[in-house]
Amino acid sequence: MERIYDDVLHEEIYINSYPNGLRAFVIKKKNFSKAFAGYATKYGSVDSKFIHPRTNEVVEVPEGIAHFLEHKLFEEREGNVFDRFAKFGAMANAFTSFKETVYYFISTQNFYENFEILLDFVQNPYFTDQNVEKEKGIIAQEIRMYQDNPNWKVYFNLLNALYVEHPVKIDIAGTLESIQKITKDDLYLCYNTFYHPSNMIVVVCGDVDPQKVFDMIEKMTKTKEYQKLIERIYPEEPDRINQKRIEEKLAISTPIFYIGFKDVINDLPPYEMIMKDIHTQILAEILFGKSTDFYEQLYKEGLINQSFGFEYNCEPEYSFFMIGGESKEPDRVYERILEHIEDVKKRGIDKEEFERAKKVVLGSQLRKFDNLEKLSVEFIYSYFKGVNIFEYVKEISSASFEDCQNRLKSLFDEDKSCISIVLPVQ
Amino acid sequence: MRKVQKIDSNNNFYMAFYDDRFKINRVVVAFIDRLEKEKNTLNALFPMVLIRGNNKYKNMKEINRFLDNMYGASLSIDVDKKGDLQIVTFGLSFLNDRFAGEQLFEKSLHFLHDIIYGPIEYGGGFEEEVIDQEKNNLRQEIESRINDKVQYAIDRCMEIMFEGQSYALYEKGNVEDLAYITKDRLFSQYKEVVEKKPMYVMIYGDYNEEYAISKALEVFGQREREDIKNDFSINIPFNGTKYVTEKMEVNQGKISLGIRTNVDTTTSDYYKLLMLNGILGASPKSKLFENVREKASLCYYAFSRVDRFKSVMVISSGIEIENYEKALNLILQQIEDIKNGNITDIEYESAVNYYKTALMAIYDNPRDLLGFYLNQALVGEMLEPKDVFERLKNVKISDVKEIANRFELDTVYFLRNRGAVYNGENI
Repeated sequence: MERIYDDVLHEEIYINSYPNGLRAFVIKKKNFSKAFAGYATKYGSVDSKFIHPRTNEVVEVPEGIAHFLEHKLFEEREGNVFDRFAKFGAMANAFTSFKETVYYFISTQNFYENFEILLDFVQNPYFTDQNVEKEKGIIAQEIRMYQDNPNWKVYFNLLNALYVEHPVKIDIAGTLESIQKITKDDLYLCYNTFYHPSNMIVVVCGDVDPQKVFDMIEKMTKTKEYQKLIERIYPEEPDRINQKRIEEKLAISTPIFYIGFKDVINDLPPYEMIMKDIHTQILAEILFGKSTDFYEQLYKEGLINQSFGFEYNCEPEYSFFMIGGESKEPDRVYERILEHIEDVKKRGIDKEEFERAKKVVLGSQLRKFDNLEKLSVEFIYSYFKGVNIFEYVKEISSASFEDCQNRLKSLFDEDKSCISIVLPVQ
Repeated sequence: MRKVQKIDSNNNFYMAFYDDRFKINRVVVAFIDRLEKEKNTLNALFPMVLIRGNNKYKNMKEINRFLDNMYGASLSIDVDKKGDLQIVTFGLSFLNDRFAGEQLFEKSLHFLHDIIYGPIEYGGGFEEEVIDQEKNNLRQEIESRINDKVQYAIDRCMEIMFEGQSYALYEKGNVEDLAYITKDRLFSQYKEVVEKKPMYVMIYGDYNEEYAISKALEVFGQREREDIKNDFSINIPFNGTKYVTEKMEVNQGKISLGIRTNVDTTTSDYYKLLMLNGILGASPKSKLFENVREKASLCYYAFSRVDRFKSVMVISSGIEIENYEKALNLILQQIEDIKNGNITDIEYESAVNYYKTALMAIYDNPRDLLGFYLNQALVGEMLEPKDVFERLKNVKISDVKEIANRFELDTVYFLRNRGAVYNGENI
């Protein structure tokens, strides 16, 4: 067991590694009444093609399978795992993202009893033809619900416009058609591949005893042998974008839009990736933050409202910057953003604005440490991309003005940008 | 570790909570008004105008620069509905001094005061141009309600159920009234609220509570303010169930049920109703989740919710349009089962445990805790989350059954697609 205390953040973390490749982390939060425990696998919606680590064969499975698996893991021979959690009062759930699936619970009592259930059910799949069929109805309604959600639509349409080949463009839940193809055998195959301890981590956050947590994991882990690294096959993604503009109509009032910039600088070592991420966040604050003249101007003209915002999604294999909100004239906003970028490129960024932006980025990162769930999820995301969030926060102060200036040129290229709009149905 | 200190006089309420566990502190100032057609739109609009600037902070940019320099402090305005009350809230979250390396608390209080009282104190009325821009923003916000179909279907159900009553009003106002709002009318309503309506100042963070309250009192003072109370009851006769279907361009149908609970939510019966809600549609083993989703595979979500400020329960689910009748019957069956006392141990236990976790978790979230205490204050109770749990766990299955037998199904609302064929007819 290793202990790290960060005296800047006043945070304490315990780490343990197991011979089968599993790693576990306890983020100690003294005097919190609730605790979070997450059992996560590095397996998400983008992993539908891979080399099987034992047979060495290339496998391709239907879209939406990681998410389907997430639903099905709650099923047990006798009912579902909620029966067991209900006794000990945990709120259990799970989610699937592009690159990870996380099973978790939050409890304010009986932590270790609940923790045992979590460790147990994730390691015990129970799929039958019948329970797989039944789930299709539920997931179909989930997909349908998202089809009516304009924010979800505008987001995935943007990814579709940005990416030509990469599966990040595919809806996490798959499609009504693709989920019909999923069988019990597919689920077992993916489970046996990706739910191996060497591809998973356990993260606990709360006022718990780290040694007890680590001992329980040791005792409960079924798989003892090591598995070699899973090779995931991603298609070659060209630098160019897929399409410049994408539109869809839904029952909404004001158009919703996202403008995306495809970042083609990827496959960086972790430290460089952290710095790239930090430089981009600071730069975005300087360019589009709420205290900029640019924001104030667009707002006054009625082109944007309080919903205007931006985010940068940074992964080792792909990354993109997106900015959007509601606007009656999304195309004009797009034009203005491009003009503004060109303008700043010409005159360069301001030193004072750079310092202020740094403060904002630091504050927003520190905020994350107050919320157990958010902190844990952020920790999991970061860990799987090879980054430690504690380090991340410390590096913000070391970000240099020049690097941010350079980032402006490398990320914000008009040719690598596109717009996604959801318009109201007439 | 945690202490609560409270001062109230003349409907000025000050509360402070000391807690050193967080990196962010929070100050909230809330004003309570009656939710009424004549002013709900005005009350939604004036805070939007206030955060556009005054003579001290000339514009949004100056306001946002101040916030940036406070390490990205965040200023938020919220307009909520609690029963027949409309609540206007100003909130500021800012970095704990330990991490900022400077004193931010007093700065924050003064800043919030300047935002709320700036136009009065610094002689800056509202600019016509700013009002017009914010009217447009508010219009967009009101119209955007249709974007979230789940909430929209619930809101519509309530509007139909409470037609003509103040509870049917939307907390952010309505588009028609925007046109008639003048600069003077807006300014006088704003003054009325911040000077005469009940005010709650709440501080959460790493400060001694006595110090926190004395500083806040120094900045916000105490005035003679009105006493405003919510009407918790429904007060309209029940005339049988209303069935309403509306159409929109949607993929999934949304069903919402509005139920008169006939429970006086200011009494201990409220806790019985809460337990019922847990068993019916809030806990992970609730009847709705288990039977409508897991067993019948009819939906992805099905939940119930109660509003303490009005004696009403709402049930909501997203379903395939052709399954409307099947889903409705199955939902109603769950209520029937409770009426007959068909509640399993696991359903009961799950509800108790669900509330325990939910209530104890409030202690770890300053925002939720302040919201919790404001609700408590408005109901005239001063319970802690753990006290609420104590009351819940003493509720018996027979109590839950008794409460269910008071239920009256008031409104069934169905949001469905356009242009469909039903029973051979185009509808």
